[in-house]
Amino acid sequence: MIVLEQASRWYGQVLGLNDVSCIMPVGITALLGENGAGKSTLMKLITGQLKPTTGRVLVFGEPPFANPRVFRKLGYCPEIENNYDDMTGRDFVTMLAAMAGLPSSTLKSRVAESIETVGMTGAADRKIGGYSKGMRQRIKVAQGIVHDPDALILDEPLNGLDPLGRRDISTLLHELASRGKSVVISSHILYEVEQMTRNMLLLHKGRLMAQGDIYQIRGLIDSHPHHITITTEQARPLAKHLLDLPYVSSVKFDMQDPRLLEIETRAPDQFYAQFPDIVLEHGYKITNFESPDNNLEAVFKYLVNG
Amino acid sequence: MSDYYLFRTALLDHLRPGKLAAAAIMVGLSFLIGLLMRWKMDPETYLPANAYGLLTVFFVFAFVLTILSVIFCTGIVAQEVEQKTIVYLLTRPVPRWRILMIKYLVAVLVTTVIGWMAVLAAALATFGPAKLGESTVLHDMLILPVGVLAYSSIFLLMGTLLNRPLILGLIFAFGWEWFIRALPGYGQYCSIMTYIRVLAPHEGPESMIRLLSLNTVGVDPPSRAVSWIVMISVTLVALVAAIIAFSTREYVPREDAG
Repeated sequence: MIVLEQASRWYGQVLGLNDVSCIMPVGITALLGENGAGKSTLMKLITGQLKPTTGRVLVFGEPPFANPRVFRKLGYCPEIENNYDDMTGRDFVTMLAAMAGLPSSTLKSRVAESIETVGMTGAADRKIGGYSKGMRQRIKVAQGIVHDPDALILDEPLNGLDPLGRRDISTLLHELASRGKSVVISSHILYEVEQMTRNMLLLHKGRLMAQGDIYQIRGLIDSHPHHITITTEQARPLAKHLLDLPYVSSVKFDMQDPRLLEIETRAPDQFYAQFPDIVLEHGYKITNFESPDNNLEAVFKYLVNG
Repeated sequence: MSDYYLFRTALLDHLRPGKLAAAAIMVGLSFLIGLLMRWKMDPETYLPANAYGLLTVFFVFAFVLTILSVIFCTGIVAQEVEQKTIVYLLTRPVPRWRILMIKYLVAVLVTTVIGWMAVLAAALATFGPAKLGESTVLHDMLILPVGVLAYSSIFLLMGTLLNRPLILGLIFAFGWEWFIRALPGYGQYCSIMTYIRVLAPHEGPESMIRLLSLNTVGVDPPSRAVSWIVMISVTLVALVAAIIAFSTREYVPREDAG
């Protein structure tokens, strides 16, 4: 649906995006990166606000810049907090729904529906100028979904939302993805993105560092051993058994907590496959088992910091 | 449907209290200056048509019309970029030229209505209520939209091309337009106001108008036919250039770029 082919974008002498090629399929795709990584540039290219300096950006097979055919099927929730502050939330969504081409016969009902979806029915007739940050986020999402687009682009949609709001928006995005829509979100809150999707694009200094499933990407990072922490009352005998395994490179005891073991392995899949057998065979009681490396933040650190 | 909402939003923006107050001040000033002229001038020599002519030429056309056109039309794009709301407009399936044209037409409409009110206020103050229907007044009201269209399209073009169009617009309206008419030779031919004045002549003391406008060189003014052609050409060329610029340029709030 959304394709970038060797797309680069310069701002004068500054490189915003460097030779990025990727595909954003149906489902949720997370766009990750630090400030200045090129996330916003990428989003502006997809939403047709910018033209690539070199390469191509195609949305539904067409260049999106000033292209009404693309915008008919594209929803965009920008990061900006500025809306039309003198308008009510309902008027704001109605204007943009009308601009999106919704016919007058369904305009009112579609606007009411999208406002309800984001939980803003009670505040829809108040002026946007009096909205909290979270309410602004919700009304922005409402205008993004009001015309039922096939692809929805959201720039930092969780900013300013309370936990309940974050859950609501997250649920909404999952629903859209399950209905066959492409949802692209950018965020710097890795934990929350991780709850939403495993499919990610990682940008760093304008370059695409990695794309795809977070676990697969983690598995490809061979130079970094995979860490697993295990909590058990039988830490010493378990450590001995684990050290016998050829793909376990080290086992460390925690100085503060003698029940805690930290394992390093270069073959996590094999380890995960064999570990239950060892536990069952020797009757170890495991009270906690986790891998801090299997989360997005760890992958991000590995890729960015090397 | 989208055109209606764009029109409505643009119109409501012009009807905000601050802008309405500015419009009221323009109209009120036109009336007050007219009254002052009437009261302060010697009743023996006071000629309503002369007073009205001076007021219309130097206040309504040369100030109200131009300042409103500068403010409203340079802001059409710049205001949306500054408020960052341009993002919403440019990511909707409405051709860019239509967005620009609707906002332009609203600005022209509002400027024209305020200009008409200023003309009527000037006539009311100088002629008195009995002579509001003077042919000069009606003629001014007919020509005023022509001037508004020409100035507005020039300032619209500036707004689509420049990041800070208001300052350059003001320099054009109150610098270039006055300066170029003061130059010897055919300098006056490079001023929009020259053509407006040809299309809306005032019987008043022409020598006084010429002196006040610093146009001291005896070059014949353009004919009415040339004036019509120039006004229509300027309007169309500037409009087309503005549409092309707005349809092809990137408008991204500066601090967001990166």
